[in-house]
Amino acid sequence: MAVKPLIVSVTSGKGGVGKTFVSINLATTLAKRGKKVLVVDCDLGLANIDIMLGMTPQFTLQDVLFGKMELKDVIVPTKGGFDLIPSSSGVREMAQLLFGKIEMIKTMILAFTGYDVIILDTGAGISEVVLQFNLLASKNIVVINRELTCLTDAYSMIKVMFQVFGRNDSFSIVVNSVSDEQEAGRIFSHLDSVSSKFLGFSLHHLGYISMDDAVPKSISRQELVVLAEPMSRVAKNFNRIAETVQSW
Amino acid sequence: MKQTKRPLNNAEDDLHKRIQALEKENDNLKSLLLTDELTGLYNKRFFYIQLEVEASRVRRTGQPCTLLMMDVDNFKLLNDTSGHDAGDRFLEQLGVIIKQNLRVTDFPCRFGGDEFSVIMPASNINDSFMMAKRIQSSVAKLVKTNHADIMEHLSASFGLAAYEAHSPVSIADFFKQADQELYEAKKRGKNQISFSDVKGVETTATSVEEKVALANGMRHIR
Repeated sequence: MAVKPLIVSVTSGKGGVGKTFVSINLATTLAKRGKKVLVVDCDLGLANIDIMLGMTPQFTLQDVLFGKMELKDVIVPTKGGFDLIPSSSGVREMAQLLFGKIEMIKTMILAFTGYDVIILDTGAGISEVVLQFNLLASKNIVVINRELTCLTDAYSMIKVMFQVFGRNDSFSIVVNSVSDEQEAGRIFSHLDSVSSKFLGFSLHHLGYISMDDAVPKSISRQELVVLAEPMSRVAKNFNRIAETVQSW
Repeated sequence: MKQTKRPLNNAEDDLHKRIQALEKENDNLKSLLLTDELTGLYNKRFFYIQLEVEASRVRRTGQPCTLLMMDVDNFKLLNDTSGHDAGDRFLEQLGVIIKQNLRVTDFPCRFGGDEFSVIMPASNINDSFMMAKRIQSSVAKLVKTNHADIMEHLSASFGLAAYEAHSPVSIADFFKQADQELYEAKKRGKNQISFSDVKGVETTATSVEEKVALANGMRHIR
């Protein structure tokens, strides 16, 4: 019998915090460590994994939702060594996905076998679509940075997931673009203390990603930083995160 | 004394029986007034009465109520190909399917023709969506067994709407909303479920206190 894949979501509340960056580099790191990984671009309004990977996929999740293709037929291999289900960008109808369609994607994702890990890269915001994908995942990787707006949006996301679905032990925080482990620890502890105080539960500190010139460089070159600069601090950060994810 | 009492007793008995008979007749008339003859489900008249009752219950208890509207796709085709008796038989079977899939607290109604509705007290869109799904697949099974010839055309479409305690809409608008969703479902193609809102659980916004707490701590982090 096939083992059920671990399903994790990468989410943040605020946009531009590095969700997709984390998704694809974590997927690549896990693949390097011998895991079979599938990434689903769940940002159905403004998808951009394909752009970050320099790919132009022929078919997307939208083709599946409109009944043109089977989900397995839109899966494409990537240079990161993981598989991808790409999404279309700028399709207005998709951003307000109908409940029935969300259920359809959820059912299809749950039926997947042959992968060790499935990473759901969600869109920004706390729309029903985002919440539903977070609900589908057993672990929610919440990407934050030191901006107050980002922290507040991440907190609101956690709060809504808790209030609507009773989620309280699935949140794992990744602090992005910090100068060192201490700074990441302080930012995490702060969010964690507010969560404990107002929501009554604590969060898990999954890891951090260093501020590193290699990151903007790789992004502008449409490269994966963990492949382009395998000896960088960032690559080491991802390795540590992957290690924990593998233990889930 | 004894002799006069007996006829009086008899008269009382008669009266009692007559009252019972009248009550029974009254019940029959009432049920005729409120149920649909063909399917045994409630009728349109009952629907409107009950919808008012449920709306006031929502406002009082704060528990949302949902409305499911259902319509058979291409019902005319069934009548045309198999005759009106087969059509009626199909509607009866739909009534059974709907009843089988409901919770005991739901009110299934036949609107007339091939249009049905279910009032679902204390439920959210999620519940009514699952319900619509179940009915839809039961209908598909029924069609496959009994009407395989027109299987591709005969199905059911659904429109769903939720009425919440804070809904600013009137009952009429609530009903219109569900009906509009049914129309949308039909427009999108057959065998569809459409609804307007996926809210179900009340959430409270991140408060000023929470925001201040988040902001205060960050100021000290270097």
